[in-house]
Amino acid sequence: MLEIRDLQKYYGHDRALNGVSFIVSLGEIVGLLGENGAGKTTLMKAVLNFLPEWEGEILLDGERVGPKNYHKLAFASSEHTFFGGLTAMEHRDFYRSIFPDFDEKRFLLLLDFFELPRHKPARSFSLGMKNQLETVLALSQGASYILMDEPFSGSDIFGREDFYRLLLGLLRPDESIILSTHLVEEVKHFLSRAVLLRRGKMLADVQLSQLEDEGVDLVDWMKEQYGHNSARVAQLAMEAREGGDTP
Amino acid sequence: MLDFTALKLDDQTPIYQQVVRYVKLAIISGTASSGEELPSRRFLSALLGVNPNTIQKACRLMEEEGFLQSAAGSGSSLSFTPEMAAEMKRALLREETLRYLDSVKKMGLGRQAVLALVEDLWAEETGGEER
Repeated sequence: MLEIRDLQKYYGHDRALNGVSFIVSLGEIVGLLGENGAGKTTLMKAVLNFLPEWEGEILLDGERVGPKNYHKLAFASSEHTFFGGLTAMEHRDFYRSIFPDFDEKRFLLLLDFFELPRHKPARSFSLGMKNQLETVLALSQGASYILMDEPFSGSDIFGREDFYRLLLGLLRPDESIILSTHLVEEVKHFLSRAVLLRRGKMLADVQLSQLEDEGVDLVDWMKEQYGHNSARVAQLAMEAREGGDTP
Repeated sequence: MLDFTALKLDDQTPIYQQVVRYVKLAIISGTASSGEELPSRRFLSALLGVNPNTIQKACRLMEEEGFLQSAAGSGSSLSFTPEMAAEMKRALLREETLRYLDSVKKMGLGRQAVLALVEDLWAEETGGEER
C-alpha cells in the first residue's frame, strides 16, 4: 500500500501541492491526470523522495521511503536517469546487481518489443528510444509501485496502444502503476482508477468501474470536474468577434 | 476456444456489456458451442486493451446469467442449453427492437408509419421475398 497523506509542497510562495491524500493498493493502475502545472510531477517526486522538503506523510507498506525500501519504487520519466555510456545490456547487468527482483525475461521482451538495440550506448538513442529504455528499466526493476511520468513522448500512437496491451498482459496482481499523462483518451480503458489534480489540489478520485456503471466516459467526467462548458467557449468566441460576425 | 479478435469496441456502451453481447451473439449465431472455452482473462485484457477489472466484470455477469462456468485454477467455458440460446435470442431481439422504436419515436414516427417503413425496406432488401 502506498499512502499519501496531506501532501503540501511550496516552491517559494507558490503552493505546488495543497493537501493531496490518497492510497494506492497493489494491482491498481492509477492515472494521475491534470493540466500542465497541476502538480503531477511534483507529487511523483515527493513519493520518490527526490524533493528536498515537503510536508505531509508518505508511507510505503507502512514505512517511510528510504534506502530500506527504495527497491519497491520504480520511476520512468523523460528526464533520462540512465547512464549514457552504457548499452541496454550493460544496464541489465547493473540493474541485476542492485535489484534482487530484477525481471530479466520481461526486460528482454520489452527491449525487443520496442526494437531497442542491445549493444549500442544509450546516448546514441533517439529521444523516443531513450524514453522507451527508461520505461523498460522501470518495468523490469521488480518494483511493487511503478511510477511513470509522461513516458511516451516520442512514440507513435500504435506503439503506445500496443504497449498498453502488452502491459495489461504482463502486469502481476502484486504490481501497481501510477501513470501521469495528458493523453487521457488513450488510457481510459487501461486505468482502473483516476486521480485528478488541479492547481496542486486533488479535484477528484474515481474508480473507472464506477464511471462505467454510470455510463460516463472518463474524458467527459474530467470536463465536468473542471467545469468545462463548451457552449461558454463558443459564446466567448462570438463575443470576441462581436460586430464582425455576419449571421 | 472462442475467438475475440473480431470484437471491435466502441464508445457507446460500457465495455463489459460489449463483451457480454459479443459472446451472446456468438452463441445465438451458432459460432460458439456449449463447452467451448474462453481465453484467459489476462489474455482478453491484453487483446482488447482494457483493464482486467472490466473483463472480470463481464465474466461475472455471464456467470450470473448462467451461461459461463469458471472453475478455480482452470479457465472459463460456455455452458448453455438450446433453450437458453433461444431465450437469449428473444431477449436480444427485443432489446434491439426497443432501441429502434425509441429512436424512431424521437423522430416523431407513429406506429403505422414505422410498420409501413419496415415493410417497404424489407421488400426492397429481399426483392419482395417472404423470408
